[in-house]
Amino acid sequence: MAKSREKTIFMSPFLYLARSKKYRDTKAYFRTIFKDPTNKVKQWIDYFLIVLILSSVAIFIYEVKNPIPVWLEYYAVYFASAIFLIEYMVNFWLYNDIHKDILTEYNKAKIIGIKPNYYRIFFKSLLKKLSYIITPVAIIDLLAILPAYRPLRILRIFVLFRFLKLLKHSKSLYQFVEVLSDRKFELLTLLVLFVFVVVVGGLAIYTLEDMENENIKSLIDALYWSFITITTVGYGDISPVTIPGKVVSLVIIILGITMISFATSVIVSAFSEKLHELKEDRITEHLQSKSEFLVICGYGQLTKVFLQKNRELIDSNEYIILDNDASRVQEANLSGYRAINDDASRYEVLKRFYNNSSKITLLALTGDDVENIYITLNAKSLSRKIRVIAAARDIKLYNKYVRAGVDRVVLPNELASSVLTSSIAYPTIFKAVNAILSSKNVATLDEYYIDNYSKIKDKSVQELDLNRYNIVLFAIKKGFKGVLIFNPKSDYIVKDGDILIVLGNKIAIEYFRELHNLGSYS
Amino acid sequence: MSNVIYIFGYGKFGKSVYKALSKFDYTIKIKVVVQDIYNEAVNDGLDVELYDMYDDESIKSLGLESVDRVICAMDNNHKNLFLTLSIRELYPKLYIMGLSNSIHLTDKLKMAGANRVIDTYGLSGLMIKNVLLKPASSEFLQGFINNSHGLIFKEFTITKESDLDGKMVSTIDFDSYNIIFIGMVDLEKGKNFIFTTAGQEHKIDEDDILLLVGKEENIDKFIKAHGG
Repeated sequence: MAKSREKTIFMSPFLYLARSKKYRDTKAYFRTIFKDPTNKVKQWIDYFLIVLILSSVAIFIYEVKNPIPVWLEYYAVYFASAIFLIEYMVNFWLYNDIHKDILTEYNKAKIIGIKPNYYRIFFKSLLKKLSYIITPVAIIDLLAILPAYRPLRILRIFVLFRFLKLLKHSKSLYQFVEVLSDRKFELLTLLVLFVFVVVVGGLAIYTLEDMENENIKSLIDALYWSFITITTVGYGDISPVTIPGKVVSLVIIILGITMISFATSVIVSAFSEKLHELKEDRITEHLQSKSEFLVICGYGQLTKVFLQKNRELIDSNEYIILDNDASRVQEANLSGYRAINDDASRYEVLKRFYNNSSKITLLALTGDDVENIYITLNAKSLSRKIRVIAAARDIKLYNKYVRAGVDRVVLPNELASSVLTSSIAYPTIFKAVNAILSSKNVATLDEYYIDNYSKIKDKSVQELDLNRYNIVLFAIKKGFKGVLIFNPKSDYIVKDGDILIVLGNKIAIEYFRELHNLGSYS
Repeated sequence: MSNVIYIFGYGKFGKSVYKALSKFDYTIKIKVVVQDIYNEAVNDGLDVELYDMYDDESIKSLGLESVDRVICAMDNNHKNLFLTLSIRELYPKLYIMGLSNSIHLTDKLKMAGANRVIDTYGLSGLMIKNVLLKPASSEFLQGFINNSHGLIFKEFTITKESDLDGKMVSTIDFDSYNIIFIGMVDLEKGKNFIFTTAGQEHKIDEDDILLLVGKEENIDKFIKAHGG
């Protein structure tokens, strides 16, 4: 009984947390807004913290020589520090799930049939949690709070750590550090060599010129001279006076230049290697910030023609081309398009671009039906909300495209054959359809979306008086999936959700749209 | 007009063109250069003949002088271009049609002598653009191609017997037949097709062509009622 009570008392809070959906959801929400770089709230939090860091540091620097109002001091010292403290605590909370660790340890003990040592389990998990405190990010965060302690003025120097916090919140700075950390081995090797040469150079000048050079009074002076010389700064306050000392100087200068060149080349090569990746990350981020964008799979002839006919899309930059052939991607980039060498049939690739709040349309234009269907299934498995438009080469595969979930299938060969046939059999129809398809100014086929804000809602077709604007009302669609009413009667009442399909002069159509506050698809 | 059409090629494009044209009252003959494709067309029960596209005598033996028009629909762009050039050289007045998959090829085919070139990808590119920006109206338009909504475009050529001869378009009742008038070729104003959306009034005369949209039976009723 006692054991059971011990277990109940110890485990109950952790079991409660593990079972609480509300707790899980709350933590997941905070994790998203603090950790997910694609999250809009996270971006705003970052902006807010950057402003707070910069303003508080500016106030601290101004305060060194000038008096500042009390309220400004309260802002820089207490308000900013309080916010940083809250951020620190939240990050500490999000670092890991202590209750999960405790339950895992408890279950392990149960499985192997030994009596769980609750205190050991608790302290082991607590230590894991506390390990957050010694992570570089946490140390910087903690030091950035310290200037709030006013009695010790020396703590003000920690205001510099507020600047270091920028690394965490500024993407560019963070990426810079990331690139350098990728070359940790090379840079550390260089650092060791650098320290070695500084020490050897310092010792050499100290022993060679100790009695000869009045400026070298201690080993610190010698090391200082060595450091200043090797970095090619050369203040000139200490300089060698003996021949052996000058020889040491020459060697150190050559080694310094070599090391600086080597370090520069390591950093530059690291950046050039990462540049491609950084550029892709920027494109991904840019797209995810858009409410609507296009993912074009394949850079073949059809894509080229499509892009040539959509200059507005190119100007808006709300698209990306994915192709698994590097030479085609290079060709696209050279033509001024935004293309990435990646395989759209891979789940992770499309997931990079997926954003729950954006309206995404995917064009499957690879030129290979099997590939297009695979890409469609990949997109639809990511989210059914992604609209997929595919170009099918083989009409026999039309049903497979539909089954895969394609929203619209375009059949280039059939379309061309149909147009070619009508040009032979019905030349007048050909002229008309060709003009409509090409959106000639006088014959623009367009659509009006009716919602609660539309002024023509609840009005009859007759009341719309479309004839006055030389607009032909072809049909009304009762929503996207709804029925099509061809040539609606004059007493038909236009309702919310209706889509009016009209033909008219482009200018007249746009004028009528603005006049009656009518929506368009995008 | 002999109503005889030659389709050169029976690959992806050729088959698609044949399928679309076979619905009409044309005599269609297929001309191919590869034995395997010839066999395939024979198996499909078509009127097919082998020829050598690099030999002018072989092309001459096809009897193109009695043909209404030819369509160069091989899957290979280079061969289509070469054939167009050869046919134009041999038959300066023959109506040649071609299929293209790029703006550059369209220009080259026209330079080689094609009278009309249908840009396959150009049309698809436009269609995809329409689907993207105007999904409902593009679906409506595509319905005419795949006959999904049962509506068609139909021409009505005005005859001497038609009671519409001499009438103004604005006085004609299309609504009773549930059809829409979208424009016409008004010979008084030239041979161009003029959309009703241009806002012009037209007097209908003999040989003018009206373009109507609706269900086929309704359009036929209208044509019958007005002496078509």
